[in-house]
Amino acid sequence: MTVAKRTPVTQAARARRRNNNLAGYTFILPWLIGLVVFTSIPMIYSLYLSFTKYDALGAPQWIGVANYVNMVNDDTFWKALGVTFKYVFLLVPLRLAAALAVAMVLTTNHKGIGLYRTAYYVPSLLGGSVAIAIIWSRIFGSNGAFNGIISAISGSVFSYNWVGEISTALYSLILLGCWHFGSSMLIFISGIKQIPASYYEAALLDGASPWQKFRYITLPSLSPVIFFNLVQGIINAFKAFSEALIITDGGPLNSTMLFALYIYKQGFSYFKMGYACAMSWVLLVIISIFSIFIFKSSDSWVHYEA
Amino acid sequence: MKKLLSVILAVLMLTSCAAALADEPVRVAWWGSETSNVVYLTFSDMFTEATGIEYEAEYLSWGDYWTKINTLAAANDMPDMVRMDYAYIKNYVDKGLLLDLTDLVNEGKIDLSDVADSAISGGRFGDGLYGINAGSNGLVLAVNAKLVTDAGLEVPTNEMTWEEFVDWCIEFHDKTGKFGTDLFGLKDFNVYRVFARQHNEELYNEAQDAVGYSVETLAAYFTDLKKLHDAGAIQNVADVTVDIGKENYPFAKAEAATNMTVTDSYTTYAKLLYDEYGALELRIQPGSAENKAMFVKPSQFLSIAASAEQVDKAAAYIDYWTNDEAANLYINGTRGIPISAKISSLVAANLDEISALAFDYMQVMAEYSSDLYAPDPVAHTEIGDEFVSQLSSVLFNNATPEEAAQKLIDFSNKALNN
Repeated sequence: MTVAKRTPVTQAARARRRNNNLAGYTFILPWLIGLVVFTSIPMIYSLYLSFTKYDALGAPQWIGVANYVNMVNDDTFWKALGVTFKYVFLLVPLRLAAALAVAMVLTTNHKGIGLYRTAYYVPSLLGGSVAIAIIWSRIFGSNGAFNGIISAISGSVFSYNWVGEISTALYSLILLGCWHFGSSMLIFISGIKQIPASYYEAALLDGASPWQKFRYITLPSLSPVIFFNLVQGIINAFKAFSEALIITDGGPLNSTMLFALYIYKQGFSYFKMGYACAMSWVLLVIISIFSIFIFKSSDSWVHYEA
Repeated sequence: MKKLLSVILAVLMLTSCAAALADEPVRVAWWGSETSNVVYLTFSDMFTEATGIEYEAEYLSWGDYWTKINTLAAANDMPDMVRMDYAYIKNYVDKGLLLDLTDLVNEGKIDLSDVADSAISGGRFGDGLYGINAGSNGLVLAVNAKLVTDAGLEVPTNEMTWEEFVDWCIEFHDKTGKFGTDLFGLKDFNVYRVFARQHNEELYNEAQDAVGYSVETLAAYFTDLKKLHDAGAIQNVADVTVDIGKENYPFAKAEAATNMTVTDSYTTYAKLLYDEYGALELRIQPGSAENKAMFVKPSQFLSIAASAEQVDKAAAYIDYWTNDEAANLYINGTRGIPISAKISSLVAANLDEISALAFDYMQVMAEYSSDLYAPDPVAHTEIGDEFVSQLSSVLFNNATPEEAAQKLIDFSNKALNN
């Protein structure tokens, strides 16, 4: 009897839950379609293409792992990998430091602080735009403003093409990357604002120095935000592309041949789509390894407030 | 849900039927700079006005154009009328993506009665005709004659040898402190192509499975450029890493006496320099006289996609480009000399000073030209990039000319067999 009595209730509950689920799926449907059509299907297809020879005009030809084997003997592939690692390892810490430093300054109480925050975010809005890249190549070119300043200070004519010489071209791109600290800065600002003022008051009573306050209150409290910015920064730096394409086109002598740019060249300049897809998957694996490593290590240095 | 779906499908079908019934425009595509886009758009408007055929234009810069056309070809959605380049057309023909125009020509839909057969031979592959020349162009040494005579030097002649030219550039630099010629010109792979032809060699062998020049020839070219570079007779190699645009090249700013360029691009320089320095003088690439190393090249082809829906309208567009007097007077020979003899003489009679010089030069250059090279293999783009890389490594002192030459040859032979 009891069973018979309970059954209608359970059915009704089930139906309600099904309805709820249906509503939920309906709401995320636009996103879900986007994920499948624009991300999942192309990703699976690119994995297939990475085992083929494909010039986009004819049909793809299955060639097994040849694309992956060819990378081993491709000098430019290794060069691009080296350049990209250097770019990521220099850029990410520098950009984070810059973002944190500016965020610290912009969370102090001053008149018109909103204006400053907006102003410092502007470079990130302009981002990897063509206009910025062109300005950059002019500022650091032989007759650029940067040499003009050096000449004015030193009193003698200084001519050195910072973006054109092998030894400095990559650093000029890293500098440009650092300048785009805006989005990390915004996240830092919101993080800093969430640290309870009582921590600092207690520290003040204990006579802590500004450095001690930063080291033992700000940094640990911000560690989840640093973690987020670090992961984001590394992923984006590995994918950096437009600056190198527009400013140096990978030159001189491939010294700014970022990995994503090399993928683009193989795919869209030389029409070796299969090879480009294979390299994309290598990049995906590299980024995944770094992300996993950071996530694993986060237990020991990221503190979530209780 | 089912009802909704069927309604949507019905609406879709109706609209596609309606679209098919309506008079569809012909889709035309080209690559170009700002200036040439204006020319093509105006030309297309004139076409619509004269024939009543509406058009839909797709245009991009050189590099993006090929990415887009390639992608559209893969999607079987190429524009009806596409502009093709000599470097790419063979690949498209081999893949069966272009329409054989022979029937359209025989039916008179594309009228070639005033066109010499030699003028369209570049678009012939096997028995088929897959592209009509938009015009012809060639390489040219543009000389800022006033700069040269002011320095007390003679303007190079067409008979000047390559070695004499190198010395001449250095002498000009020693006298004026300016550049004898422009590295932006010399790093063009086609300038090296002519240099190889001066030695009776080509970039690729006949089978296109290996390079067609010797390591000595390439090393000699690298050596000469290094000599110019070390003497300061061309700009520092670091200054050509970033392509700063033709308007900012040393030659355009009268900081270099000469520049190797293409007749199409010559007008850009001519207009910039005319007011202050007068007309430029045009010469063949030094060293080309003895072996007739120059070549007359189709500047671009007008082709019809094999998948085209508006074949007749596309043919009318090509016919209008080739034969219409008003349109060609407007284009004014800026896309190379028109292939129709009738149109060409009409345009020649109405040219301004700058364009007239290019027309005259093309006549002169033809005397120093031999057969056009076979269309380049697919790997040409990649090899061209490697050429610039190896040339840079010589000028950056990272490799000797011989090492770099051998590296490029090894790279090319591998890419050609891939």
